[in-house]
Formats: sequence, structure tokens, C-alpha cells
Amino acid sequence: MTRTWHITTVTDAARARIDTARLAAAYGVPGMERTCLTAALSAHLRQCLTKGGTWRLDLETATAPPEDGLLRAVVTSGDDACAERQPPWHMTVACAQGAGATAVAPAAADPETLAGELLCADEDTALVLDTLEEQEDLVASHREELDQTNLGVLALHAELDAASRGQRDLFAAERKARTEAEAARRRLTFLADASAVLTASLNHDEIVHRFQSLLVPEYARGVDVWLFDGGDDEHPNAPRPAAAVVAARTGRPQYAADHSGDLPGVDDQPPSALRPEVPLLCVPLPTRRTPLGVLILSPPGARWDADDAVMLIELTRRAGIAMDNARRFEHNRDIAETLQRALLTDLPTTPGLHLAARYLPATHGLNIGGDWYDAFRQPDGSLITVIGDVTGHGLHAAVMMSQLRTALRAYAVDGGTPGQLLTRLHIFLHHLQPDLYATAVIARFHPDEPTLTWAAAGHPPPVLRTPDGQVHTLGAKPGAMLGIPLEQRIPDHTVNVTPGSTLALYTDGLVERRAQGIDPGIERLAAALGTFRSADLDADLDGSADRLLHPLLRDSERDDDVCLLLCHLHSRAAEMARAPVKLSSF
Amino acid sequence: MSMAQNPLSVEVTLPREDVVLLTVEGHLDIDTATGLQHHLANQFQHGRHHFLLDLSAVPFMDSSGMNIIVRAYQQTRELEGSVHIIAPAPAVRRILDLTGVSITVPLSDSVEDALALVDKQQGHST
Repeated sequence: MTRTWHITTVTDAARARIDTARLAAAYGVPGMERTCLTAALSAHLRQCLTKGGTWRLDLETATAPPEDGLLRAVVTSGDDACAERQPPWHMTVACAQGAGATAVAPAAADPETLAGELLCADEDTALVLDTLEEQEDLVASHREELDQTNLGVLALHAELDAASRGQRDLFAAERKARTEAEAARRRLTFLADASAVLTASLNHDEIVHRFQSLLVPEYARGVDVWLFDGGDDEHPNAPRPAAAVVAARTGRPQYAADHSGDLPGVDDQPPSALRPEVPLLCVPLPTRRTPLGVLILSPPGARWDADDAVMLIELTRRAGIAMDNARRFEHNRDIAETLQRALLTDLPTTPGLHLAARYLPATHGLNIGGDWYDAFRQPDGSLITVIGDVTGHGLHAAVMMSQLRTALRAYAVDGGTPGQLLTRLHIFLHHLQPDLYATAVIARFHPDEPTLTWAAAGHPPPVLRTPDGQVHTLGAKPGAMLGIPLEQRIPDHTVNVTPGSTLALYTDGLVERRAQGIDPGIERLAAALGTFRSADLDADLDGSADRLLHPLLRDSERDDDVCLLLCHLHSRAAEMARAPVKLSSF
Repeated sequence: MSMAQNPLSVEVTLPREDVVLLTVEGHLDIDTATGLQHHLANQFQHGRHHFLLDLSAVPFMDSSGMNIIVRAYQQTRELEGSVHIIAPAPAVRRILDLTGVSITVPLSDSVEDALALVDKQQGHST
């Protein structure tokens, strides 16, 4: 179906437009499309009118597919020549399905109709405006929804970020904690190992050198040890940092640098004038009383961290204690050795009568005990030789022993036989020190007689080698131990001694073995003495003493002191006694 | 320290009210002697004055052990008490004889013999 209008004037155009709208409505074209069609048609027709001439509008609908359901508007120029030159204007809109071609009368062209249609046209416009508003609302709400969604997505992203950041932080914290625990373990292990190394040494000079090898380079670049007593100081007159002096005076560690140390328990000081660019940590070496020195350290890098500083201070504290203990031990040992040496007498020389003594303290404990030997002259020229053993060990026994030695020498000045002297010592000891006892043997050599007088109190028997190589144990019943709560008179015994004889006095440490008692040991001593020749004993009594001791001590546990005194009457004693002064010296 | 090598054990029984029997086992030397000393002091404080020392299981005794025995003897003597040594090993007996301790502190072969000596002494005092 086709409807056609010819348009020359604006009124024609208006009528065509009105009819198009009505037809479109009749064919069920939806409002928006209808308005589009009429607006586009009006715009084109206005253009045509300005050009002038005649124009033709065709509205076509088809009833058969594929073009059914479409309304097509075509505007062509009335001038055929123009129509050929220019393609026609057209627009197609969809109709409602099955809309019939109901009769639509063409609109009249009178002004009333046109005015009425004009008013109706605004209705269409209002429809379009409503639709537009709807669309705008829809867009707005979609936009809002989109915004919300975006916000939600952003929030989700933010949460994920936070979660992953949180997890990273957790890992980092865990790693940090593990690293710190590692570092702490490393420090503690170092502290334990270093303490073991430091306390293992008893020599304080060694401790000083060990400090240096332990700490450099990991914990310090430089280590200096300032000991107040000078000691083994390599640079005794070197200037000391002021901070070290403060550390010494206050007993508190000091940190001298151009910045604050932030080290716990450490006071800050201005940098050292000697080396202002190097931070110094000065830690006093503590003892039970005043510090014995100051440890001066420079850091391995720019500075220490707090934990390393704490460890260094603790290490220094332990070192101070170790050094203090070492010094005390050395001090006591020095005293003990000095005392011991003072008590070991120089043996008097007599022409024709040689003496050789050996003293070996027990191997553990202080080097001092209760064994002693002595030899001295009485006013009548007799030579008194003594071997003794105060029961007990250590300083107490040693002090008692020295008192007995002196008492004996004093008593001997009054004269008296060995037995008498021992008896007096017995009374003296019992009176003076009721809970200490002693054993002893005294042997007296007469200058002009070939006899030996001896007495023993609770002590292993002396052993005598005669020039024929025989060895006799002088075991006549001894008196009891000195100091025991018993009244006793210790008896004297005499025995002949000819030139070339050797008397051995000794303490039980030489002969006693735990499992066996003393008798097997005494037999071994006798046997060993029997292997010597008089000539050997004449020539070198000291060497003989060593050679005698050696096999006897091979199986000893050395938990008791060992003392030996050899008295040898030279084979040519008589000659030597008459010999000129060259041999005698007092 | 030889403390762990040769430990000392002391078993304390009371055969009579004021008589204590200490049965000692192990080495009696500088490391272990104080253990025995404590037992003696403890019993002394509890009023026992007669001490029987069974040393049959003591293979070795040095001057520390001897000191303690003689000191105990001195203390008990002041209170009319006594110390007896029972069945010492030969090596220990040799030392007790050599030092003359066996003169002052009687040796017995058995606990019964020692108790008989205590009875005799107590008989004398009353």
C-alpha cells in the first residue's frame, strides 16, 4: 500500500507530517519511533522547502515478507532531473505485527485542524521527554549501581591487599623473630664457649691473650686490657681513655663516642680525646672487691647493638671472676711454695757423711703437706737426721709440721738421745694440739764412733744398707705415734755402721700401696737399695736418690707426699775426716 | 677426686642403748673420712659413748682415718666411754700396730668380744 503527498508549501508539509503521524499510529508504530519518524520527516521537509520546488512523499507498507511489519517513508524531488542526481531521502520504522491498513482519511488543511495537530504533536514530544527521563533515571540508577559495585570491588581489593600485606608482615615478623632467636642463641653459645675457654686457664696472662683472640674480629675490632697491677702489661705507661678511668672508679661500663650508645647498663661519655672518631666501650673487670682492670673495646663496625653489648659485659664479668680466682690460686700456691721451700733445709755437709734429700708433694691440692726431713748438729758434734710425717694434709698440717721441726731443733740443743727427743716431742704435740698426730724417726750419727743411735715413733722402719750389699730393716718395736693420748717413753736402739753404709729414712708415701699395705713396699725399697754399689753411692748420692725413687713410684697413685733422706757414710770416711779443711764448709 | 672411685658406706646399729656399732665398708682415706667423722659426731651428740668400729670390710685406711679414730677415743675417754676396733684387715692392722694406736684403742676379733670388753669396763665403773 502506498500513500503519496505532493508538497510545495509549508502547509503541504504540515499536512503530510500530520498524516504520517496518524498513519504511523494506525499501523502501530510505537511512540518513540513515530516521533523519530515525524521529527526526521519534518526536518527534511523544511530543508526541501528552503530549496523550493515540488517534492513527493511516499509512505509504503508491504503485506508480504520480508517487508511486512515495516513502514517506509520516502521523499523524492518533484523535479525529475534533481531526482536522478540525488538519491531520495528515506526512513523505515517497524509496525506492530499484523496491524491492518485501517482507513485513515487524509487530514484537512484548514487552520483549525493544523492547530489541533500542533497541540497533539506536543503530546508526542511529551512522550519522548518522559521516555528520555525514564532512560535518564535508569542510567542514573545503573550508574549508581555501578558506582556501588566499583566501591565494593575496591573494598574487596583493599581487603585482599590488607590480608596479603598482613600475611607478608606475619612472615616478616616470624623471620625476624627466628633471626633474633638465632642471634641470641649464637650469642649465648659464644658466651658459654668463651667462658669455658676463659675459665679453663689458670694463668691470667693467658686469659688476657685469649680475650683478644675470642673477640676479634666478630665482636670487636680492637681489644685492650688495662690491668691495675701492671702485670704483664705491654704498654704500662700508655695513656688510658678517660672513659676507662671512669669505668674503673664507678665500676660501671662506659661508652665514649660522639653519639649516645643506647646500651643498657652503660653510661655515655664524650668521645675519647685520644681517638675521637672511634667509639670505645670500657667495661670494668669485677672481683669480689674492687675491679682488677678495665677491658677497652672498639666496635667491629660503626657501633654495637644492645644485645652484643650486653653479652660483652657479661663475658667481661665472668672473665673478671675467672682472673680473680686464678690470681688467688696463684697467690696461695706462691705462698705455699715459698713456705715449703723455706722449710726444706739446706743439708749440713760433713766430711765423710753425705746427705741427699727428696721431697715430692702429693699431686693434687696445694703443693704443701705434713712431711718433712731435717738434719742438724747437736752441740757435741753429733749429726741428727730426722724424717717426719704430720697426719693430715694441707696448710694446717704444714703449719704444725714447721712447729715440730723448730721444737725438735730447740730440744736438740739441750742434748738428748733420739728416743728422748721423740718423747719430748710427743708431750709437746699432745699438749699443743690434741687432735693432730705425727710419726717420726730420728737417727743420730756420732762423729767418732762407728755406731748409729735411732728411735722411731709410729713411723715405717729405717732401712740400712751395709757395705757388703746387705740391706737390713731396722724394725725393732717403735714407740707409738706422737701426740696420741698415751704416756710413753720412746726407746733408743743402736746399730753399727761401717764406712760405705747407707741409711734410708722415708715417709709412708714411698712404700704404701692401697691394696697391699706397707710391707711389700718396704721390701721393694730394700731390694732397690741393695742393687746399688758403694762406689755409686760414694760418687753421686743425689743421683742415687733419684734412681732409687724412680722404680718405687712408678705404680704409685701419688695421693700422698713422698719424702726420702739418704745418709751415706763414705767408704773412705776416716781418711776424709782427717783430710784438710777443703771438704768442710758450714 | 677419688670420691667416686672408693666410696665409703657406714651402717649404724645399736646393740645396746649407749653402745653404737658402726659397720664401715670401703676405703677410709682423705676423701671419705669426713663421712665417718659425721656419723661419730652425730652419735656422740645423741649421747652414745661406746663406739664399736667394725673395719672388716675396710681394705685401706690412711692417716685421716687414724686421726678420726684417735680423736674419737680422746673424746669418749673424757666421758668414761670407749672405742673398739673390730677385725681390721691385715694391712690396716699393720698400720694400727706401727703407730701404736692399737695400744690405746683395743682390737677385737668380733663384735661379741668387743661388747664383752665394754661390759667389763662398765662393770669396773659401777
